[in-house]
Amino acid sequence: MRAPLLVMLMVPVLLLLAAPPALPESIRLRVQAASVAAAPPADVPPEAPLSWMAELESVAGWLRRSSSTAVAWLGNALSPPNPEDVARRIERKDSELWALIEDAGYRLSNVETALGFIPSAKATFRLARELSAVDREQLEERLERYAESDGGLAARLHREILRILLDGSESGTHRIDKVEISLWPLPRAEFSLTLTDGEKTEAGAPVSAAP
Amino acid sequence: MRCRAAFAVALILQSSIAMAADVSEPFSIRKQMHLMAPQAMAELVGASLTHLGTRLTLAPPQVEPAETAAAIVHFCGGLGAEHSDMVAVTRRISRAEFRRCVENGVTDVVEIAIGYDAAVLVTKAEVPPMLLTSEQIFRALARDLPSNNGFVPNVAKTWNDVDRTLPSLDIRVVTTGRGTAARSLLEDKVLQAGCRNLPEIRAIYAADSRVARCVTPRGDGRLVEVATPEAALALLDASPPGAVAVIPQQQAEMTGQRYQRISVDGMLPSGESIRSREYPLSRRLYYYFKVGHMRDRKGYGVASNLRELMDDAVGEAAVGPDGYFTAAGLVPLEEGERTRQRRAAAALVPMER
Repeated sequence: MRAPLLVMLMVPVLLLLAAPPALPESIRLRVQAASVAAAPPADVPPEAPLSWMAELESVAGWLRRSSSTAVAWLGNALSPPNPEDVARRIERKDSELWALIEDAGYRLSNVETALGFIPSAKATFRLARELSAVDREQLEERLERYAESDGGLAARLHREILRILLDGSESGTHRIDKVEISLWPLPRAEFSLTLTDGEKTEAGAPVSAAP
Repeated sequence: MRCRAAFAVALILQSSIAMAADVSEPFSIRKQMHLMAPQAMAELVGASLTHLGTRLTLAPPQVEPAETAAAIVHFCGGLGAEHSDMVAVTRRISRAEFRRCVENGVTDVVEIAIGYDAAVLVTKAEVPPMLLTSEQIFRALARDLPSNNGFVPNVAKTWNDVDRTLPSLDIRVVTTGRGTAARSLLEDKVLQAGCRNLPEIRAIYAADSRVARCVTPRGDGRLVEVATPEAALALLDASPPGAVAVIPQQQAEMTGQRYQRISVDGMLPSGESIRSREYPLSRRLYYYFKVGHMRDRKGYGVASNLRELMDDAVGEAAVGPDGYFTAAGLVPLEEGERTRQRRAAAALVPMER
């Protein structure tokens, strides 16, 4: 049982002794740059070859760093974003989507995140105000400008979400009360409709009446 | 006998010719066109009809005044003599409105942008330049202002009361009445934009209440309504420094350097800033035509001369730099856009939303 293990350990050592490993270009450059910075330029010419032992050490360091990065990445992948971070990012409007959703009359009501093998994060927005014709026109113009400036897949998804909200704001038969945006693991939007039969409601608890 | 045969042949020929004439004779259910337009666009529609009337004999068209939303509802109500043939509106038909059109059988609609409408805030030339924002204009003109989660009457007397960076000059804004192009641009693009993001306004659920909060002017004489842009400029001349007039862009151009244009949200009016939609007091204007009401190849249709009106409205004589829309105060579309519209109209390309 020990023989195969020994062979497995010996093979890379023998290979390293026979020929120094070919390092990735980025690592080679980093090692060279570090050497140059450590010694005066006059003493160490830039072209000076590194000993294979130095290279072996740098490979070992690279492997160690890579493995720790991979573990960290795996850990991050399994952890959902912090709900407070998500809420803060939405309030800061770090994506055009958040600004547009707010202008469409929706307010962030809660953020849910879940830890697990497939973590999840979801933001829920509730209808806070009806749109006027001018609000809709302004939003349509913003969407047109957004389309001119960003034709990417995510931007298209954002615009489609907004178009659904805009259509809902004009409908005489229903109202979109709630929109849930799943951010993680895959982007997704869910809309909750309420049939209104054309009646206007004051569901958003108006603060004050018309003048 | 021979005579009788010749007569019979002549009779048959005559009736055939008459039948052929009947078939080729164009037929419309209505001789007159039924058009709808808000007050702000009545002059433009009038200019189109006048120009078309110089080439064709038109039955006096029925031009019905209606606000944009109401005009679109009527237009999208269906096909047939009782429905309008064309609407002139101050914004695009929305997706929901167009869906209603399609549900009612109005599937083929040609959308034509006829140019940009713009208004300008001017003040006397000798007054120090004023750079205003939409919010400052709202705070100068609104009847009530948000304060501590409520609303209080607006008591600002000078521009400096509105914002410490503005001069200590009396607030006085002269504009034309509600429904006019300049006034609706002031209300929609400045007052609503200036108040939309204030927390107290955002907290109001009902759209009507929110809009009323934004556009209801103070009643203490700081906002003065006059009948015409010329009257607005005359009153500006007679007013103390600090007075501002809101007039159509064309009117401002006609006065040359006599008045000073005020920058709004950092933008001064120019052909470029208006076309790029960066200048706030501007918007595109549209004509919508029902293809189903135009006469088909056999000459049958709901209304006479509808296609001719559309062709006229996309021609350089209408939308070009020297066209009648430009003469009526519109900023012309870019040349490439005008060509694209002409092609779309010629091919009756239906709008998509």
